[in-house]
Amino acid sequence: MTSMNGQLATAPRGFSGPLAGLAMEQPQSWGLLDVVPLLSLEQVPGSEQFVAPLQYLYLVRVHTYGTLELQNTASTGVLIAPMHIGFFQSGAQNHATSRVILLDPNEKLIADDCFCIQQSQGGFLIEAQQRFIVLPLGLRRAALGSRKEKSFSRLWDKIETFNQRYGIKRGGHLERFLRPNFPRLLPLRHAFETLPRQVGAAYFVSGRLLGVEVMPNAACWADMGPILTMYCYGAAALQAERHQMQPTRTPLSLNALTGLDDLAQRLAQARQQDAATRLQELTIFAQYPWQYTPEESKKDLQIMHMAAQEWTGQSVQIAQQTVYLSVFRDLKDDL
Amino acid sequence: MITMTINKQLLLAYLEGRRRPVAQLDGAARLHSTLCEAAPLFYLRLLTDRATDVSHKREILWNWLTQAEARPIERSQVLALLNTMPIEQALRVLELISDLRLNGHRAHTLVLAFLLGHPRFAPLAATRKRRLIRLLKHTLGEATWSSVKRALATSSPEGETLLAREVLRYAPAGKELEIREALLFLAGLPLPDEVHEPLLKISEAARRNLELGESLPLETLLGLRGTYHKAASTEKVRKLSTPVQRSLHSEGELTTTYKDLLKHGQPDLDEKNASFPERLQLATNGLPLIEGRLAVVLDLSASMASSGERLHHPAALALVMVRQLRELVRELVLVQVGGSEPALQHFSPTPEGPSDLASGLLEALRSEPHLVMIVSDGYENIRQGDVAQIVSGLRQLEIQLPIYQVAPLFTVAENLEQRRFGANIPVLQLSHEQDIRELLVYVLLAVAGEALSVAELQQLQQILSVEVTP
Repeated sequence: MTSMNGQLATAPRGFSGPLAGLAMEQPQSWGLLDVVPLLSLEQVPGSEQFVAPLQYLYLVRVHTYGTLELQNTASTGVLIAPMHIGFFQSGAQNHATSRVILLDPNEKLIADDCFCIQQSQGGFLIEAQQRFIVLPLGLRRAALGSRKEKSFSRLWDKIETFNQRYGIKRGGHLERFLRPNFPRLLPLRHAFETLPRQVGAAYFVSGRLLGVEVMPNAACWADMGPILTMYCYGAAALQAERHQMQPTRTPLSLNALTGLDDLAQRLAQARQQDAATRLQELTIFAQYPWQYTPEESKKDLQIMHMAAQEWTGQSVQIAQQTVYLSVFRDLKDDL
Repeated sequence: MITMTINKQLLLAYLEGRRRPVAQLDGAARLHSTLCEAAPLFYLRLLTDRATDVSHKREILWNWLTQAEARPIERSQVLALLNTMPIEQALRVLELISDLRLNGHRAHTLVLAFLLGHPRFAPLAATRKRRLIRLLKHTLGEATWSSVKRALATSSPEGETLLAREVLRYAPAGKELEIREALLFLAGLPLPDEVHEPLLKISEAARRNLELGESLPLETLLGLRGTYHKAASTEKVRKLSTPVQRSLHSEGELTTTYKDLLKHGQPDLDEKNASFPERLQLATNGLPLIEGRLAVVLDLSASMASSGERLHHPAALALVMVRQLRELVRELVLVQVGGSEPALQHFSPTPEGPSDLASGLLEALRSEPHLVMIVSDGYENIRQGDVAQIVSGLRQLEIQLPIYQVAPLFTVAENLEQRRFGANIPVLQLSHEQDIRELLVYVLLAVAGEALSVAELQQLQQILSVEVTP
C-alpha cells in the first residue's frame, strides 16, 4: 500500500506590479524565517537566455582594492550577477559588489564600485571560479545606497555596527560574523526547499516581509535561492532571535479535539490562515506605488532602481517585464 | 534457551538508553539488574548488540559475575559471545575485572580463557602490552605472574608444569608455542630469532628505536613514546603509525547502488544493477518476519538529496530501509512526501518538493498501524513544529501508538540538535543499512504485548545478534 503526499495545498495565485506573472506557493518555515516560494505563471519571453550565476560567474582578478574584473564564462546566455555578492578567500581582502551587473556571453567587465568587507586584511583575491555569498540583509541598504562610489573602505563602519548587533565587538570584518554563525546558517540551506518551476521567493522574518527576490528562470533560482536564504535573510532571522522576536504563525489549537479528522482540519485551517496572511502582504507589497528609476541598460535589458516607502532594490527588465528583482527593507526601523 | 519474559517498557528504556554511556542514563544499574533477573540469557546476549555502548556491556558482565539468576550461565557461553565482539571492545569489557579488582574463579578464568585462547593473542600482546600485563597480573595474582615469568626465563620441569597449569592450558590446541612467545614478550624476556607473530619483534625493536615500530597502531606508538622516546614529536609518531580511516562514514553496497542511481537520475534498475533484489534478499537473510503493520512516512523532499560529500546519501539510505522493511514486516504502509515518482513503483525517485510531514503522518495514521516511522532528515518546513503538534494532539486523543523519527545519517557523529521534530518523538539514528535491525526491534516491540512472549524474545535476540552482512 502506498500513497503520495505533499501535493500543493493551494492553487497558484497571480499578483500585479513588480510581482506580475508570479504566483505564490505554500509557505515554508524554519525558526523565525518564513519563505514563500514564487513560481512563474508563464515564462517571460527571453528569460531562458540567462545562465546560472554560480556556474558561470568568474572572478578574473582584483585590479585594485574596490575594483573587480568579472567574467561570464558561458558562450551563450546573459548572466545577471545579483546585487551584493561577496567573494571570500583566506589571506586576501574579501570584496563585495554593490549593484546588479549584466554580462554578455564571454564578456569580461570591470566593476570599480565594489568594496572591501574585511578591514585591515591585505592581499588581492586570486583568479578563481568561486562560490560566493550574498551580503546579510543588514548591510544591503548601505551597499546599494553607495553604488557608484569608489571608496573601497566605505562599508567598514557599517560592518562594524552590523557585527556589534550580533555581539561581535569590533572591526569591519564580515567574516567575524560569518564564522561563528555559520553552523546556524547552514541548516537553512536544506530547510528551505526549492520547488520545480520556482523562480523566486518572498522572505518573512517573525512575520514581517523583508525581501522579495526573483531570478530569470528556475535554473538561476536554484543557484541563488539557497545563498540568499542562508547569508542574507538567515542573518536577519538570527538577529530577530537576538531580539527575542517570536514566530507569528497561526498556532494549531488542540483544545477539545474530537478526533483525527478534527485534528487534520485544524491543521489545514491554520496553514490556510498563514497562507492567506502572506498572500495579503504580498498583494499589498505588489500594489505599492513603486518608483522606478532607470540606471543602466544593455541591449534590450534595463536595470532599474526601485523604491517604495522603506523599500529599496533593483530590478532588470526585458521589454518592461521583470526578469530579476531584489527589493528589501530592514528587519526593524532601528536595525 | 530463553525461559523467562521481560516487560516491554523495561526493554524499551534499555534500548533507548543503550547508545549513551551508563553514567548518562538515570537508573541504569537498576535497569540492568532487573533485565538480568527477568531473562538472564537474553540479557547476556545483549553483549553482541552492535549499537550498545561498551559501558553497558561492562554492566552486563558485572551482572553475570554477581547476579544469582545468571549463575547457571556457563563461562563458555560468555566466551562465545565475547568472541563475536570486536577484540578491542571485548578487552574493554573484560578490563572491568581488573578495574574493579574483581576476584573469584569465574572472573579470573574468563579473562585467562579469553586472552590466552584468543587467536589474536600475540598481536594483542604486541600492541597492548601494558593492558594485557595488568589483566594477567590481576587474574593470576602478582606472585603467580612472577612465577610464570621465571618459568619462561629458565626452563625446568617444575616451570613447565606451572606454565601448563596456569597459562598454557588455555591455549588453543597446537598454538602453545605462539602463546609462549607472546608471554615471553609480555614478561619482557628475549624473543627467539624466529617468532610466529612478526608484530612482537617490531614492537620489541620499537622500544629501542621508534622508527623500527613503523606500522604499529598509533595508540601503541604513543605509549612507547611516553616510556622510551619522550623527545619524539607527535607528528613523527603519527607518520610512523598504521594509517587509519579517519572518516566515521561507512555505507553498505545497497546504499551505494541507490546513490549511483540517484546521481544519474535513473528512476529504475538497469542491467548493471539487475542483481539488486537478490542482494537485498541476502542482506535480510536470518532476520525474522515481523507480524505487524508498519506505516512509514518517507520524506523524499528536495533536502533529502543533501549536498557535498553527503550528496544523495540520506535519500539512498532511506530508500534502502524501505525496501528492507518491505521484506521484513508483514504489512508496510508507505506514505511518501515529495519525490519525483512513487517509491514503490519506481526504484529511485529523485528527491524534490517541500516537506509536509505532518500531513504525511495524519495520512499514515488512517491505516491504523502498530507504529509509525517518519524517515526524514528532519528538515520539516511545512511548517516546522507541526509534526510535534500533531503528536501532542494524538496523545490528547489518547492515541498512544509509537511514533519515531528515523534519521538517515552520513556518520554517527552528525549533529541532529536542530532537526528533531520534538521532544515527544524519539529519534532512531541510522548510519548504515545494517541498522535495519534497530528499526525491526522497534517494530517488534510495538506489535508485542506488555510482557514479551518467549517467541518474541527469541525473535528479538535473532534481530539483535545476527550480522546482516553475508
